[in-house]
Amino acid sequence: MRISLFVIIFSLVGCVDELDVTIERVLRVLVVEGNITTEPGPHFIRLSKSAKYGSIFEDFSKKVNSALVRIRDEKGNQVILEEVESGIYATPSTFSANVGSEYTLIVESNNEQYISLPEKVMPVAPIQSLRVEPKKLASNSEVVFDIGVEVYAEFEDQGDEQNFYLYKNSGTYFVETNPELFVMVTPDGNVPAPKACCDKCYITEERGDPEVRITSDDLFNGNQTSQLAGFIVDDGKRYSEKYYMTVQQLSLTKEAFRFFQVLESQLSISGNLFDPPPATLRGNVINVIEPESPVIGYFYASDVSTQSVFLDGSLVDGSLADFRLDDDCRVLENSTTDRPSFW
Amino acid sequence: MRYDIGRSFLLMLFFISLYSASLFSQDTLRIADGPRNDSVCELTGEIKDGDTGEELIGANIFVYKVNIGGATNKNGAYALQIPVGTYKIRVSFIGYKTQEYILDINGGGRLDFSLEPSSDRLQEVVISASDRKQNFEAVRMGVSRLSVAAIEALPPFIGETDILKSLVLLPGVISVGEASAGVNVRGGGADENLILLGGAPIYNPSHLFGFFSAFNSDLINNVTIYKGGVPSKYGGRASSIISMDYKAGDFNKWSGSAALGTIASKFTAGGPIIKEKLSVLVGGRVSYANWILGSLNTPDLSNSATDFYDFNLLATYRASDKNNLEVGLYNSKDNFNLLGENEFGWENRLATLNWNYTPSSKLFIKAGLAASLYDFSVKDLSFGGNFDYSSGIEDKSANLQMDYYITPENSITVGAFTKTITIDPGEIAPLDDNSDVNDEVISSEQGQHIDFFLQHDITLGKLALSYGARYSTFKNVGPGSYNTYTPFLIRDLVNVESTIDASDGETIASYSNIEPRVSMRYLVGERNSLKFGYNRMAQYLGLISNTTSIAPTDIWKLSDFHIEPLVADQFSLGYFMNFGNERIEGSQYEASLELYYKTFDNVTEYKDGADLILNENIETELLAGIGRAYGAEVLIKKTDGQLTGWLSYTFSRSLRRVVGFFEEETINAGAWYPSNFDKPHDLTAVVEYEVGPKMKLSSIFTYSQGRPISYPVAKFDYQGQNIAFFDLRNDNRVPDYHRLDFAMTFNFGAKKEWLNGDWILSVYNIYGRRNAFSVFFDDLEGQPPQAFRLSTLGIPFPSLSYKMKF
Repeated sequence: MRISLFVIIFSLVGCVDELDVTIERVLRVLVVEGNITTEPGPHFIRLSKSAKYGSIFEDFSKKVNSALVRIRDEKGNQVILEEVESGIYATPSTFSANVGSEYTLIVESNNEQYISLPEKVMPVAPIQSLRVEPKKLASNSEVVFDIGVEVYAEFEDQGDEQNFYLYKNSGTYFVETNPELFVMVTPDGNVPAPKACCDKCYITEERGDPEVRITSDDLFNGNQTSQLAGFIVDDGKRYSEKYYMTVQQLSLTKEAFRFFQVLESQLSISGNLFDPPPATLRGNVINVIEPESPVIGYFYASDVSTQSVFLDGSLVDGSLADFRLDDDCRVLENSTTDRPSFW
Repeated sequence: MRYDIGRSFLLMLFFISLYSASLFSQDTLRIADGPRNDSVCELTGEIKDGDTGEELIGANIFVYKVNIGGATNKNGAYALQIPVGTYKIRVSFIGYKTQEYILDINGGGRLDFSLEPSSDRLQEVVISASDRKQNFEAVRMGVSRLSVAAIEALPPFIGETDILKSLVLLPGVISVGEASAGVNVRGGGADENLILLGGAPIYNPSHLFGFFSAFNSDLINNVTIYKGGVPSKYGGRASSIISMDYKAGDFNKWSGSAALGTIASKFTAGGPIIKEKLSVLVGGRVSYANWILGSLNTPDLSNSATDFYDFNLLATYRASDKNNLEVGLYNSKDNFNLLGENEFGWENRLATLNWNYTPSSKLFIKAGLAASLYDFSVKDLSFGGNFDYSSGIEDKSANLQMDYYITPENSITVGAFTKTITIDPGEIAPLDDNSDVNDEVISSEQGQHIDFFLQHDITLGKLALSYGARYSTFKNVGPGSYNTYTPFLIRDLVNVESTIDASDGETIASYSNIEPRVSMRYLVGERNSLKFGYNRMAQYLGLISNTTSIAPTDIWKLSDFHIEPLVADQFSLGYFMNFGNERIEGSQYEASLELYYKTFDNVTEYKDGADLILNENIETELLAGIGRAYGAEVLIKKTDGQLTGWLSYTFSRSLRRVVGFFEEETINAGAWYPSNFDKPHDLTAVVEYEVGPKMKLSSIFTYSQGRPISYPVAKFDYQGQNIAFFDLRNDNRVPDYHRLDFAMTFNFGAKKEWLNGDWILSVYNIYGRRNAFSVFFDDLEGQPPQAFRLSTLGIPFPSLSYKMKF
């Protein structure tokens, strides 16, 4: 009786399952992703087209190639970005933004012209230190917790103005594999084929924490504060030894903050009863020829403060089975055998 | 039988002596051999519950031979014009033993009756209007009354009788999902319903975030909802009035009830403190939903804790036959601790004091005071956060109303109402020194209402008319400050022209509205009528809520310098008929068709991604739109026999339009779009079957079209994720909603009183339909970006409760 009651009660929480829906309308417009900062370049702008919502077999986002991409400041100085990879445009490495200046992004592609509203670089408070805190968080899965480390940026907020912050992170970690145990799969079965190299690699990743981390100083204006800059979850590999995390604290304009706020609310919709309704994500780029047609994305320019910290593997109590790979560690994405200078 | 002829004789003598002192009539009531005259006499009085002394509304009195009959009005009083003579009269009311007397009438007079509840039965069910004839005879349309006894006979909602959620079974009332607080009436928002408990407004009528409503049904006699045809004595909200009346106290003997349920248990007890003078009724309900959360294997919820309770106390003092005084207290409280990190709590406290004075059988005076306090708080107990966010509302009102019956069919109501309301939208304070949060208070708002109302109700043969108006005034007063913005620029802090400080009591904004209210009925046959209604309703506050379901964090906001009051105009037209077996008084079947068209001015909408919490300049996030709603409601009801029930179908639309100067201030390019609660088709069937005196079966089937949501028009790659892009609001719908419930009520007829209670075995959502509460779009690892459905109660939910009376 008691068991069956428990089963019954599960329904109270509600459950989430997939739903087949047919989406008929489709909007194919330019998507602009990218920004510039006060750090030396290159800074990247990614251009693509939006596609029909659904699986990649139906439609996928195409990169926009061979566009003419420029960034201009309020004095008329202009820098031309070069396509370094399909759809990715980079400023020269000598280029960096100046605090107080305003920048405009101009894109010309296939007889279409796009221009962003000018973005001003606001000064950002320097990060004094990074505080780490091991954490167990509820995850998407109903039974498993996400175990990892939260990293907080400690700094003193400027009291005389409204400040908006965006956090970005990147990381490096070390893995050990077993190339000597490599087996080759042949029609006759698995044949041992030990490799001589390599068993020790350093892997770098952009955005170890995929969440949008933004904050405004509404609640802590002028105070010494500590703001969550990222949560690096244990995926079995990252904490094999230690994780080197670099945190960037970027300044945002109020408008840019608003854009990230809407983006964040979109990403946080989880089927919660109190979810906000989906909202139109309005950016600051305008289609000059057809102004009523939307352009997705926001071009922003920020002042930046950077700090790094080692997250020791002992901070997480091995929730997942340790990573094991019987191969050359260089097969892993973004891996290298060269020990980084900071390691 | 409590009321025999001998006693009636004594009573009549008593009333004669009373009557001779009355200023309003020189006639005397005599028995047997008194002098006769040829004139028509007026007989007046009250019909009461013999056990509790409660006035019965809609009880019938019928005089044979001359075929004159009437029903008691909302004050439990009746009045008949009868020629002199000797008659047999019958006094009856559903659920009570019918009584008959021989009366010899020689002159006008007063005669009160007490009816004894019929015993040896499960609670009798009265479906809506207490008298069957009300369907076509009543002057108002769009009004439904459900007795709690009727609601209790229906399958309960997750094991709890839920007064508010039962209203969704009526045509024109919908809810956006089963776990959501609040209902939507004829295209209006959930904040457009004035929910009154014993006359005091309640600001958060829900427990456990809306899973249950915060009312203990054992203390409530009935609930009336005015979807249209709102009498002028009510005002303040644009779409409906939902009024719950307490049960009257028992002046003769103590009794009580206790009910054990799956989620909560409750008890009530009531009786005389001073016999015939002072009666009290107390009730409470306590939840034990915690074990449910604990048993869940969702980390979020199994580490959470919840508890709620509600408590009522009602005291009635009969100072004299003409005076009675009622005091009501209500308290409901919720606590929800999420993961030990966030603690939500909310509490309603109501107090009411009502004085009813009946100087004569024609004049009824009511004076009332009401206070409603609402507090909400969230505590963040996590490191660094460590703050306490709280908000509150203080609502105090006074009401004076006079009903004067020139004749029973011609009455005038006049009254006045005043209210002061203070809203503290939020204060955030650090809990300790580790917290980096600044102490911040969003300035409070003060409002003052003064309303006057007038109404004339008259029946002229086939035509019945109720017309009147409410003149409502509202002032938002200081202390406070507000911004003015440069005209023709977007309303944003960068365009502030000046900031104006208002001192204590200084007017910040002032509004007034004349709200005409008209109801008309014309009998077109013996049992058929046509009705027309028009009403305007003004609302000077709104719930700022940008979520599908009302959240406890939502804040109430008064109309101010920028936000104008919401005004709704509704026209309605209806055809009503009773049919079937004519021997059953009022007929066996009732049917109605109601059409309505409603417009809204100053509907609050939200900018995309609006930031609403702790925002001192909330007007920069809000948009003002217009709305319209229209629909047709069909209802067929069987009110007699072993099998009773009703079938209702509603077609309705609820649309919004927001056009601003700027793209950011315009929704859906300025086109009309469906509101969040636009559900065009809605069908409900309710069936009850009395197997025998000790067993009853009931079932509910309900179907409604899914509510609107937005579908993405594109996906795009951003920061390594596939993200949905939306451009039109509410351009699609969630899948249709349907559900079947079943309940069986039985009584073992045990000898011992405490064993002789009613057992209710019920199953909610019998075929386990996974109704979508919401549909959302997400990009999860290893899956294409796609749609997901959240269903709140996706499998059958059985429950068993036991209710006994003592």
